Amino acid sequence: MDLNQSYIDSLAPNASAASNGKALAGKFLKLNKSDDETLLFGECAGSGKNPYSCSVDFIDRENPVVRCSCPSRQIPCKHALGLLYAYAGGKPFQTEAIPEDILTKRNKIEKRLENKERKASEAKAEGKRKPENVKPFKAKMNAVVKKIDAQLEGIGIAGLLLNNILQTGLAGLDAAAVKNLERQAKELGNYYIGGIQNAFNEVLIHIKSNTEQEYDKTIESVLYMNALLKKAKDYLESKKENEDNLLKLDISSAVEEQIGHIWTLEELLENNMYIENAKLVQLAFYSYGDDSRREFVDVGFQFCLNDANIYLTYNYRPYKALKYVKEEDSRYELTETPELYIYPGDANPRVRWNKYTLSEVKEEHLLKIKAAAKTSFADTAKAVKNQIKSPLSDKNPVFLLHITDVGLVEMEDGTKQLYITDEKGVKQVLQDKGYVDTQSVPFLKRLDNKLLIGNTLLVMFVNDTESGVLAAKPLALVTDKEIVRLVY
Amino acid sequence: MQILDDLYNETKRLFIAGSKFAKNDPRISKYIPALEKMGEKAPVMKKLAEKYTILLTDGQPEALADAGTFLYAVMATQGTTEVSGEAVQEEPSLCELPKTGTPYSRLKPVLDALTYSRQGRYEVIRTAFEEGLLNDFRLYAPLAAGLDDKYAELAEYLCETVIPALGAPLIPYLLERYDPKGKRSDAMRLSLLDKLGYEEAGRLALEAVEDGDPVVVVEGIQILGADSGNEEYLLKLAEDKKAAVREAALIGLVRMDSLRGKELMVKTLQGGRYKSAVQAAKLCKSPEYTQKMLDIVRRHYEGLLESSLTDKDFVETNGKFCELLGVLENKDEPAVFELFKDVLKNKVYAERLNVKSAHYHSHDAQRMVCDLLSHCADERMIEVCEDALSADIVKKSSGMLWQRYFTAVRDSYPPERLFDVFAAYYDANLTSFLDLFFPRTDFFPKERGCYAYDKEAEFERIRSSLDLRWIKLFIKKEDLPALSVCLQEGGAYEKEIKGVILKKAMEGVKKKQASMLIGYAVDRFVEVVKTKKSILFKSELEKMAEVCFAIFENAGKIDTHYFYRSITEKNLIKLFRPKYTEKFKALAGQKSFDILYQIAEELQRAESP
Repeated sequence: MDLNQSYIDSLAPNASAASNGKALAGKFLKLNKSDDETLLFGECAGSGKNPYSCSVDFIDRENPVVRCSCPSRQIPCKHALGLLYAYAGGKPFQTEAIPEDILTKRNKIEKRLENKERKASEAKAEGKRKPENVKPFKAKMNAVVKKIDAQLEGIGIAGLLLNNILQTGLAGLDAAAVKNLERQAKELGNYYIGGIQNAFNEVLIHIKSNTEQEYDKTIESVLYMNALLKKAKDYLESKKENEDNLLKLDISSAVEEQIGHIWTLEELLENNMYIENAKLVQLAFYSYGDDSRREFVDVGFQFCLNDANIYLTYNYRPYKALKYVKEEDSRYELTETPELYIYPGDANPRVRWNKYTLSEVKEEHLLKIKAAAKTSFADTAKAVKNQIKSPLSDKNPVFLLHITDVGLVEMEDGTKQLYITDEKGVKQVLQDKGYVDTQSVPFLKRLDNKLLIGNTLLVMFVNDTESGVLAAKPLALVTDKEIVRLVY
Repeated sequence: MQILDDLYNETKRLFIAGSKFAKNDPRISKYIPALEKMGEKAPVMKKLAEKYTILLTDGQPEALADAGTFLYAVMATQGTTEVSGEAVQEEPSLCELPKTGTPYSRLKPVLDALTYSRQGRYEVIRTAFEEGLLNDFRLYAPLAAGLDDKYAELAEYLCETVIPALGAPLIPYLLERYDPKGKRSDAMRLSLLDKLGYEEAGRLALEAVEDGDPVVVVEGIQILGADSGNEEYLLKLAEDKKAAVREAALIGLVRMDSLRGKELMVKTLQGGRYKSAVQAAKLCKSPEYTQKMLDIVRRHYEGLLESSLTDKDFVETNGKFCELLGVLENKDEPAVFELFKDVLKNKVYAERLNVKSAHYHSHDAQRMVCDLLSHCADERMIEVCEDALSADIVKKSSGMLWQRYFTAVRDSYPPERLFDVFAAYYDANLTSFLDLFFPRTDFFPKERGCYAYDKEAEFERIRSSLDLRWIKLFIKKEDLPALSVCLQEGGAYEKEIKGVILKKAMEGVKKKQASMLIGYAVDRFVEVVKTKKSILFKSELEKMAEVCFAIFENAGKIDTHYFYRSITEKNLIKLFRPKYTEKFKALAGQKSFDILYQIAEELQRAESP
């Protein structure tokens, strides 16, 4: 079996688990493997009296099953990672029979998978991808109506809170008033409107850090909240009025998710929101803390070779459970997945996948990415503006731009601005703005223009209402030979 | 569009002040006619005018939110992708694309270590540098900013090791943050720009000297000193009113080997601003100027020996003399060593030094000479030491000189000769085992340090090079540190050494002075017994337990931890069973150290069946 270090690193929930695992690689009391090398198992001394028994089962190569008798809630734990690192590091593994308990577990999994596959193929064949355990129609309808009523009630409360803020004014909200609003925001959690609650939390976070510069952000968050409440109310009311739509989920926009709906993969399948046998290349990666959600958000910017779109992967890691949720990382390999699930959204929808394999990114892939770059900056700007003018849209769409030329202009204040031009000579200014806070423009300024011209830049658009500039923040440079990551 | 920008500002004002001020707000209403006029051609403006009219009419929060949302939407379509300015060209500094194969998981911790004040960040950065992770353009800006880190060691590490190794690509990033009126970090940036070969470094240095913060000025002068074309300028600066500027200018002049600069340095040494010239004089290696400097120092020295000098004047002149002595550092001239010899053994000077307050560390010429000797070749040091130690007055007073002498000859004299020369002085308590063998006091601090480091290799080296007569002498003088080091399994006088250690340990217990030094000796004792796999006699065991408990009684919190760790490693804790369980409980209650409770519990557990 071929296991390399980067693959094991990618399994680790975080960097510290990986480093702890590496440290344990040489401390195993027993290192065993099955005859066919689909199972690695061993014993590792821990702080307890008895050593921990851990195993990694590769019967399904793409989804290894990790087991360990240690009390850690991390999966895989450091012992399992240590076992894998020991194997990758060439430590001697003794061939032993597969333990009885693992054989039993394997059989159970096998049966479960068989059932699942049989049902999925039946569903595909019949053209229905409905989840199991569907409640009787009427009961389900009643439950949905009840939920919508609760949501509308919550939206009403949120509206009152927002009006209160608007009437008092941002400067008039003292610490006591904000605390009171925070307490009321917690109540919103009882109305199935998690997304709206997060939006309200964001308003409050901005209000708490109110400074002259922050007011713009606060106002933006207030306007988003206002638009969301309006749209959610209209949407839910129309849904309630029309029985035919009651059980349908809206896929034309992200409103469901913005209200608080968490899409299941089955729902996405039902709504044909997927691509089969998708191939993706990650062009950039970024991670940031979202205080309103109280989570870290790992964002991957993926180019899909099937439809030449840029998709985003989001991995949420709650502040409270950082140790137990796997942190995503930059991925340099090509990801191939049998089913790529696409969430409803704007120009760059969110995607997810379950099963995947990794392989090398080749020149032909890079050429495909370059071929997908926009050659008309005017059209791209138009598309960006069309998207961002909607208050609920993603304000930072991501596009690939083909660079025909590069230039530098000196502004009145002495600063120098870098821009790229398209085939028609239309300029697009590049600036380090937006939520991705790493600096990439200073680097590009120092780069010989020859290295940029003819290549493709992955950019995130940022509209600065203050300066009236629609700037592009460079995230990655794609050439015929490589991807230069300007972020991570 | 100006009208939209103005309207945006007014709307922002209302968001801040509250919608209650929106009704009939004149600052908003003045824009309505213009918007309506524009609305005749652009429906979107008409709609905007309508939204704001509603806001002015009813002043409700919903109306403010609606108008604001619509305005933001309109403004989102107005953004321009171009910026106006004069086209410029810059010479590119990077002619090939860098590799960016370091993933987020490895890059982010380094970035955090450079950006946030967290514990252990020095280690993260050092490891990353050693693994070659820092040579990544995504880290250049944070690295240049890292020079501002409050943790001085980290900033120095970046300045002295990391950035010079990464080289010229860092120049633009250093320039970006450089401020001549800044602080220490800007002096570092200037120095690095010069080191990395930035062609404008000279100009920056000149600008810094003319209008910079003193610390940057000094760095600027040092850079200018590398170019002999700046001689005139530095000569002018060498007479500046700021001491730091004078000092840096003189250093620069001496480094460029300026004749006029060296003359000025000598002149300055003779005047009231002599301190500005000391560092420059240390760097000056020319024999001709060494003689001139020596003359100045000697004149001061001779002045000190005049009997007419009052005590007060002596103290003052002696201070200056000690500072001036420093200029003779690394001056390998016979006349210099003659002066050293005289300073060390001159009776008149030694007697004057006994005057109250003349004997500060910094005002101790003999100590100063000892320090200067440590920079000399061994044969010079030996020559001066042997000459000085032949004089009775020095023999009895200068333990430090003994140390220097011993250090110089330790590797060149055979063990017998070492004993012949030094034993008598050791025996006469003119020097000590620790002073001779551990001149670096941090290596064997008299109390706890012996547990803090692994010194076994050093001890072994000492044991193997020791004349056996030393051990007899150590036994005679019951020198506990010396005996701890000399005690070894099957080694010479093992039994006698163990006897003395136990005796001294018991004495310490009786006098309630069982220190960590005794603890260390006991530790060694047990180690040797264990190595031999021999057993301790019951009486010895009881004594050991008594000694160890007495050490716990006297030790502070940290020492208690060290001692506990040490005896646990040697499985010595079993000495205490079962008799000491209650004693430890009582001691734990008295001292409230967690570790003592832990020992008591451990003993209790061991007692239970």
